[in-house]
Amino acid sequence: MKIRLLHVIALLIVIEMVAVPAKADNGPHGNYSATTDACAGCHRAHTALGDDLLLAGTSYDLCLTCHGPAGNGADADVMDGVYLQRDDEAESPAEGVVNRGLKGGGFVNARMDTSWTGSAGSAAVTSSHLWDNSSGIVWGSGDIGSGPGAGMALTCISCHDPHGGAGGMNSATYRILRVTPIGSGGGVTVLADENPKNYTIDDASGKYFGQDYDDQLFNNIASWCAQCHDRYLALSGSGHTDSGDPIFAYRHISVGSGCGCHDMHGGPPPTGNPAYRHNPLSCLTCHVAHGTSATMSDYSGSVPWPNGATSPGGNARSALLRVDNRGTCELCHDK
Amino acid sequence: MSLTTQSTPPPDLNSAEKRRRRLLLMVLAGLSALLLFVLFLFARYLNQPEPLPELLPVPVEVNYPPHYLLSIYDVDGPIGVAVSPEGDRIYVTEMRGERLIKIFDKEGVFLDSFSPPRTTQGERSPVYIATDSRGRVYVTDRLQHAIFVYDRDGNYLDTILSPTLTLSEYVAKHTKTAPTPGSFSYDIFEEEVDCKDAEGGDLTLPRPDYALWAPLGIRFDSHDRMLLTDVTEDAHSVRVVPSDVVMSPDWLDFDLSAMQFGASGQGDGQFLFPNSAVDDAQGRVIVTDGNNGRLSVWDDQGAFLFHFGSGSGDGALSLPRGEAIDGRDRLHVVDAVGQNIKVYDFSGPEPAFLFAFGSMGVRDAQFNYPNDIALDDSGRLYVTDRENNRIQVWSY
Repeated sequence: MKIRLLHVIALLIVIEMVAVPAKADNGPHGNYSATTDACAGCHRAHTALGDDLLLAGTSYDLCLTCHGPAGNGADADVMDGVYLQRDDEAESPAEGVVNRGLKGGGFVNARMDTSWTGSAGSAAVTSSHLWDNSSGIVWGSGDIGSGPGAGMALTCISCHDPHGGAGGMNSATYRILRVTPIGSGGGVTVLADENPKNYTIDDASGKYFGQDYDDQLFNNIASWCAQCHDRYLALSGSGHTDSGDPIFAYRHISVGSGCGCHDMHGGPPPTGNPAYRHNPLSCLTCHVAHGTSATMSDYSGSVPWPNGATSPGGNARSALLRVDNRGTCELCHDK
Repeated sequence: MSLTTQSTPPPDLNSAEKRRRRLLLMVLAGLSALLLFVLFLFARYLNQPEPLPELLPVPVEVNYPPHYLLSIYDVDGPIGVAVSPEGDRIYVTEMRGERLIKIFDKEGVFLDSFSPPRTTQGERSPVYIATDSRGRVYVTDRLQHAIFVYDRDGNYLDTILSPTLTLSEYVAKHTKTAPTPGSFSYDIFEEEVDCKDAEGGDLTLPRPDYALWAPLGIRFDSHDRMLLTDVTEDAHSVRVVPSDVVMSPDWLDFDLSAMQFGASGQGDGQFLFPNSAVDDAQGRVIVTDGNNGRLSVWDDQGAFLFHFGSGSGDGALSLPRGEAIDGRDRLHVVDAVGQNIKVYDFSGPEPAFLFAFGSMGVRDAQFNYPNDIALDDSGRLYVTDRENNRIQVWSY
């Protein structure tokens, strides 16, 4: 009797495992079988009317067909920067909340608590990565001494591989990121997918600073970003060492641990907010990937761009930061 | 001698000649009337070009594709479209910009716009839209996880918060009186419900506690039944709501749970983002199973029958979204990635592909990620052409 009961339980577990929902590295984004039907959904081998053998249209419009605010093909609304369902991997208690902010922010709106008041609200983004194939300057791209950066057109598939198998052997990467972003010259071998997946920020109130990321991802993401933003990759001590670049001479650490600075100089132990001061650092410590609604005041809003331009200023100078003005500095350094 | 005058006697017409002349007169009158009618139609067409089925309301039995008529602009990322029961108004939801619901007349003249009460642009995401036989307008909202209901002019009436709760019902339970439609408001990002107490004074209630769902596609059939798709995570399904629930005088004892079928997945009887459901004359419910790239057909008791339209070849679907069925059981399906409308004959036991119309592009009669379609009784078709920011009007 007990054996039969165990068999039934095992069968139920198997059924439950099979009935997984479509998320970033499966559904239309991977796990293709040898006789998959999925290709014909978007591509034509000989009669395509769009780039990349797409049946028709542009890739970013295709992405928005599911990941736009209508949410009629996916739960991740990247335009509003929200996950339309509760993220059951992030929520406790299990019933959780819906519409929690995506870790990357949004491209049109972001649901963040950039003012650090304990209450998230939806607001128009003030800065974002480009996504519609328009061109901008990739600040810090290129070798030392190569100017502020080169121009590049960006779209969703510049960074994401819609087929989801970028990790090799058809394995998924974190957020189906490409190993090498289109247009860059690098190549970061491991951006492991997270398990379990967690699309949204940890804090229900919308505080984006101090988010918990997978350690391996956190270590690798700075190198991944630096495939385009080469000269922003700065190890411990870069704040005290001249890189030789006339623009990006002294740079805040963007990968590793800040403790190394203090060890190297033999100074007192690091001060600052004990909640963060020993955390490893990465681009994602201070910046979101898609877009932020952070606002900038007098000083922060008038910082010249790396090419010396002072326009656009104000909120447009928010540089994907997670907190208004220079909150990301103060929250760590606690000056 | 008497003088007598004799007038010329009238010609002696025989009865056959009389009949001939009468007939000729009648034919002449008929031809004159026909000529006048043709002149009237000609003048009307010159003044306001309309398709023949509208000028001559006779059934057209030939299966040929419709032709492009005109486009309605002044919309930003249109997603959903519906027509009023009288056919005189077109309602459109927007995905971009202010994300409003806009009303146009039949010729595309903008009339008005509206949106859920208290919401800002970033707090609403209207998607699909439908009208019932009373002219009420229903709009599903992905961010709000609710269905907002308005009168034909866009005045807010009520919100369907969950399959078993309306906002009016929630307010009535607290105030012990049936509230006036639209005298209350709530949005999911707020902690409070604003309403009126029994004496008409302002009252604030705590946010209602209910199980969240994700209504998406909405249609009404000719029997006033609501056909609704639900994309609640891990529980994608379809609901068929009887007319007595929808058409009850008030929604103070609301329950949409009469018939629900389907589950999340890729197998038989499963959906991945069902976008719309309609029923045919045989009572079968036909669901656009969006991310599975197929149509899913169910019987009138909610039992799965078969899939249709996946794969490649004529009539194969890539990403089916909105759909509408006409009086001849011709199902019109918007293929968002295929960039066209595919039409199937559902009048027999087996559906058959008839034709497709539209192609990818920015010119007249070309689509750039279309999403939804609505039909009216005069043979017009309205299609949301999302990335071209317009509603295309076609006609049989």
